[in-house]
Amino acid sequence: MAEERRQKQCSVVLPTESMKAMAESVGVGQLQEESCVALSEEVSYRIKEIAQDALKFMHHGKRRKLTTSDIDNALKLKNVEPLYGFQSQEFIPFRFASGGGRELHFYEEREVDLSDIINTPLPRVPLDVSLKAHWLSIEGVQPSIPENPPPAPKEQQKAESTEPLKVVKPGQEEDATIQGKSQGATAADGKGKEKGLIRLKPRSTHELSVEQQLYYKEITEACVGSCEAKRAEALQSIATDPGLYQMLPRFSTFISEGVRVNVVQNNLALLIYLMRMVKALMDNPTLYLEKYLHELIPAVVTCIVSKQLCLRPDVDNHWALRDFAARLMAQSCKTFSTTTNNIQSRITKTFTKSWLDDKTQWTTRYGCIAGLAELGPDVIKTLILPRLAVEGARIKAVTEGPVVSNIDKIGADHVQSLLLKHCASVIAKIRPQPDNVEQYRTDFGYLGPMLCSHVMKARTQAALQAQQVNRTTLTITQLPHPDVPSAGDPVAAIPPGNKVHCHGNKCRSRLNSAGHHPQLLSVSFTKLESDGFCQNPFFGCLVAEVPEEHQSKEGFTVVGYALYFHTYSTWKGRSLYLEDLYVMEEFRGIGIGKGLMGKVAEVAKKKQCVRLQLSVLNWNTSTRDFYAAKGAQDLTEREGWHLIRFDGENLDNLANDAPSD
Amino acid sequence: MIIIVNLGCTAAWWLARSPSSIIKGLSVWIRTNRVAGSCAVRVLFFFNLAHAHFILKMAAVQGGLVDANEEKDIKSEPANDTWANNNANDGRLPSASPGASAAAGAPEDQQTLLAVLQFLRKNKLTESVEILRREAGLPEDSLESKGADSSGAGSGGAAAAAGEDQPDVNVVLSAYSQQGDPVLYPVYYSGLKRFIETVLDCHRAELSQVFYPLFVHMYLELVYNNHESEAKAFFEKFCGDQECYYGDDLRILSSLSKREHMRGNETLLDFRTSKFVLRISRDSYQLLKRHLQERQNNQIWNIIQEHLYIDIFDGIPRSKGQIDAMSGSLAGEAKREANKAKVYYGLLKEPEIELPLDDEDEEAENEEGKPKKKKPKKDSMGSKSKKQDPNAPAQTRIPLPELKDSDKLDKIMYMKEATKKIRLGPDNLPSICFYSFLNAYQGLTAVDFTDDSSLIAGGFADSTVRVWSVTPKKLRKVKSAADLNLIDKESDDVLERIMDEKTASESKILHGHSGPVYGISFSPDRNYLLSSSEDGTIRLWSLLTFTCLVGYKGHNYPVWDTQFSPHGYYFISGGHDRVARLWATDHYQPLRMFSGHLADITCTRFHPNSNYVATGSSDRTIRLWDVLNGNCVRIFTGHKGPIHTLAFSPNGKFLASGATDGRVLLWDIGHGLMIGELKGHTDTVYSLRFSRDGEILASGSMDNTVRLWDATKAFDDLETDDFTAATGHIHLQDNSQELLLGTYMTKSTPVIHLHFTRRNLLLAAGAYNP
Repeated sequence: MAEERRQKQCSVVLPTESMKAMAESVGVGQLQEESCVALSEEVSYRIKEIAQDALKFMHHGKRRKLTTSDIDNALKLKNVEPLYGFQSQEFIPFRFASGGGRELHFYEEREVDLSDIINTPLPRVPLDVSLKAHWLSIEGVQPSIPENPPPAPKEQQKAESTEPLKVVKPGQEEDATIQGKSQGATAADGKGKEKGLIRLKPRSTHELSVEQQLYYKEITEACVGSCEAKRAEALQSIATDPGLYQMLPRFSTFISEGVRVNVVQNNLALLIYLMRMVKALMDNPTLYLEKYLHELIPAVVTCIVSKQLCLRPDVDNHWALRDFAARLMAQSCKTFSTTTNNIQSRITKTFTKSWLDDKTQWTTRYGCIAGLAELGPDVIKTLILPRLAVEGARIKAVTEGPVVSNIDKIGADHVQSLLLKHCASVIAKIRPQPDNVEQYRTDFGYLGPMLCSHVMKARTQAALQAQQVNRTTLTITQLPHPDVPSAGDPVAAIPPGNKVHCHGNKCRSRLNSAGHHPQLLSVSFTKLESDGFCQNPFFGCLVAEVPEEHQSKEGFTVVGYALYFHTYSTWKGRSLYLEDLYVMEEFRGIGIGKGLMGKVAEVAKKKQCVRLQLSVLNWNTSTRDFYAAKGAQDLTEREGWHLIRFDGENLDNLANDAPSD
Repeated sequence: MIIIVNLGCTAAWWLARSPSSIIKGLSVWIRTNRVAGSCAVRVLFFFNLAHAHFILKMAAVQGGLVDANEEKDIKSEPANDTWANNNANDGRLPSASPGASAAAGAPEDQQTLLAVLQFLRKNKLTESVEILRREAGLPEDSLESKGADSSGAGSGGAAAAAGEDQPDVNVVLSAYSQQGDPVLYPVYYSGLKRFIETVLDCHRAELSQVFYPLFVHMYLELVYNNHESEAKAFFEKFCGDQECYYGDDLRILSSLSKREHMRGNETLLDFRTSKFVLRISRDSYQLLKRHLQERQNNQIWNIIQEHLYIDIFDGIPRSKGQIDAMSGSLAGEAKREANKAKVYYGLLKEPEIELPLDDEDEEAENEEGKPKKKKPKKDSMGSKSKKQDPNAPAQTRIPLPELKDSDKLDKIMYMKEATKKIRLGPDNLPSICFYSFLNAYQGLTAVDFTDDSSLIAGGFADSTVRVWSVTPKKLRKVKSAADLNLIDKESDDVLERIMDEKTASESKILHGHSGPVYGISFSPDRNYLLSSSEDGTIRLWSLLTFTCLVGYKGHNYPVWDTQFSPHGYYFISGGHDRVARLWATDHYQPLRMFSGHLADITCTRFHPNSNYVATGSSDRTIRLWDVLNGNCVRIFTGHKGPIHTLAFSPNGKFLASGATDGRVLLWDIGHGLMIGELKGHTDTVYSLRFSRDGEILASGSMDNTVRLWDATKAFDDLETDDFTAATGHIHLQDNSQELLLGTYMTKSTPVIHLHFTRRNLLLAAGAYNP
């Protein structure tokens, strides 16, 4: 291969046509073929020579990318005047055109309106070089801080758990594992063993450093403590901190033990907290939980199907917990199920078995159905739909038959609405129109008529959405759907928003991994959900969607969002505050950000706001330039505004000082 | 004074050169100095007188040497090949009597002389011409008739070129005069290939070394004689056979297809003027020789005789691994003789300084409950430094600056810190503190720390140099002259008083260069900073006034690296012009010029005893030069890419080098041997540093990692018996994995500088590239 390439390299010569074209451009009309050949060979040779020299400058500039300045310097070496005016920050691609029997590659030169240039505000002065120190290693162990890369990258954790034999190979990965796992002494142990023929992975005791122990204690206490703000912070930390790898076994034991104890004690609140911890762990982009599923899955399943989760099953909303846990279960099935561990099929079997059992209580029944339903439309289609009639009969027996107990009645109600919710959308997809109530009754029995109306509703909704998507390639939708109910329910289901939020979290964690201010992230995903989609939402959100054929690499169609809320100026009146504007990296530069901005502005106008405000971080120059180019004023620069904040203890103190009324 | 010094060093320099490179050197000299102004030209006149003598002496010596060689007939050197033969004497001073006249030299020598004369005349150095001519005893009309002369002496192809331009130089350089049938070249080559493939295994590896130089020279011969298509066919047919580490050179070669290209291409010039050195055992050589003679394969035999230097040794042939370890440089391996000179690698005796017992310090120690443990330690340190190392150079071998009071204070500080030094080892790894340069959009190109780790300097591609203070002590300028007058000079804290508090800041920017800054170095006393740049100058900055004091001009091409001597005063620089220069801060002309590398000098480093400098180059060799006499005392080959960093072990015995091939090689200076290879990095190694006691070697690379290596073990495992030392054939074990103590990934930050503080904390620096 390499040889072939080399041979190709040596024969690359500029085409003679270019010589002719260049000759024409300087006024030499008739250039003979021979001279063209000679010229092109000479020019090719010289260009290669210059490229060789330019490489030297690149190496000494300690870069991997050859720049135009390298070429300039190489030209200077040869006593040739450098090419001026070719330093462009942007990438100017070659355009291709053919016609008249000639093929042309050219730069597309944009027409620039001079007044535009004059009127645009001056670009911001780049930040000065600064020096920042951090610990890369402390006595041979790399501390897990945001300045360092995560100790064991997720891919490696994944490889380790799915293909344990492959991982132990000499080289970089192995070293990283050992370092990631053990303290200095055990690292040395590991090295010693490697010498042997059989490479055994050192059996290191996972000793936590004092700081880590402290962290673990704080986090677990906050997670199950009474202060919601602290809990949110702790969960946020679990969901984003890159250095939790070593504490993972502790966390998973904590959760499984906690669930075991609290189920017995019917402590609903604690169970919810623990499930939120599981969620946070799963959200952490640097962790791969496969190894700890044996502890986590039983805990989650318990929360789904347990007979009793709370002291007062008739009043407490344990259904929400079951839903939430079911969603967690579905998520872990999706991420971790492989042909070897068969998680999904094992889970499905468990659920179906207890559902089919006649003696099963309504609560468990609800959990089983929720667990199955969350696994996706395929599971609903093959496992739930065929049993709708049977289940309907059972519900009918409870609701219309002699009153057994209030609890059973509530249970049956919930199962009914759950079945309707999940099955309607699936049936809408697989069943041809028209929807006939009688037909439904014969097919699904007692639940038939209700299903029918739900399916019809689902159909109209789907049609509406399809229209929107078809109209434009890029759809910007307002998130808080009017039909999203259930204020006060901590884990309410929000179909379209859900995706965005996962995604929003992901964006944030991506930002985080780029090394900027992870402490900025303090709102957990569930909180976002409950704050934005209640009766009086704290914020509004617009999302940008692309049609499925343009979806992102990870398969998202929602590729950007803008999050805003209302503020009020005593001087000017209503105003809008843009909290977040995010577009995935792949989709930047094609006008999505502009579109979102425009939509937000439209919302502002519609609501008769006089201005749109936002704040942006100092280092984020590209975004600042973007806003500046749109004509935004920099208040910090112009009027010297400072952003002031009370939080945590200070906020508490302030609130405590409030005069009693 | 300056001129005398210049005479000394240039004379030594000229002496170390063969006549063919004199031409080259002269042209470099003229080229670089013409711009420097009339002064330089005057100097040139001065030493022309002297060097004319040397040229004559050289000629005489060559005459003598040829005779000697012919008698020995070990290397079966052809009689007419005296130039490169003399190259072998790089380090040797001419011992033959200078009495012999030039006329005794071979006719080629006379021709060389004529060429030199012609060159001088062309550059209008008439006086020198006159003197040289007189001393050489040449008739006055010899110059007039030289055109005819040279074309007569040179053969066919050269004569044609002679008419076009620069006939003199061309004659000297044109080596591809003989011409065979171009069609037969591939036949010859594949014939030899077949032969080598059929010889016994033990010889095959050795003989395979011939392939690459032969391939290159045959190709160049074809190109030179205008057989373009044959050359291309030849190249394509055989370039795949060559060792992969010659890829870079082959790429350059492949682009060259015309005779005109050969002129001005420096890589090729090297190939033609210097011989490719091969080490082959006597048995293998005999085998090759017999084969070529049987086949009457004159074409190849001629190339081997003219362009190859075969260093024959007695004993068993080397294995493929052994050969691969040492080969890879632009001009083959180093000759064995090149590494025979004695090197005084020991450390200089530390000046004796009374350690004043700092009362406060003692008390503090007492409070901590460690009463008098320090005492014996201090004694042992003192006694250690009193012993004279037998391998150390004489204290006055090169004049070193005297210690000032402030230096003594610093030494005391150093010794105090040293007592608190952490002992490192495989079980006790150093902590690493990483300094990231943020927002360095313009490109960070060089970093240096002061020895006491109080200041960091960064060189940037936007021509600026920035200095940061990493201690709470801010950087302050000295007050202006007017304000200084007002100060009471008798007061105790006068040194404090001269500083201007108003200028205190954490960092200072130094403007002055007009191109990217590639090298940067603090003086040991922290008063000066050196920076070298693409603009061809080296600048000396004062860290008291934060202004430029001197611009040292001389390189005229980008200066890739510069470094202060560990004792201050001297500094070394090297750059694109392939010449390393030794300077003293108070001289605007270099004291020594070290010439010999065949490509850019990419990094320069002083030996801890200041008597030697090491230079690494893009020709993939490392050379060690003696500061005293300018001789090259060691040539290390083995890297497969341009060398970008060097580090001496603190005891002065060993050298570590890192290159673009991602490997770190360890060298024993005393024996002139490669003693270790550390594999692990996946990209260019830009920085290397030994811990203060030499137990740990830290390496930083473009691949965003810092790696720590067990240096103690690497050097202890060494088995240097007399045989290995004598032959230079090493057996490298592949134990990189065992020696690697730790790998620390940074977050997309290439590591371009490393530094151990006096207490053995490792500092690393690089620019964050999001």
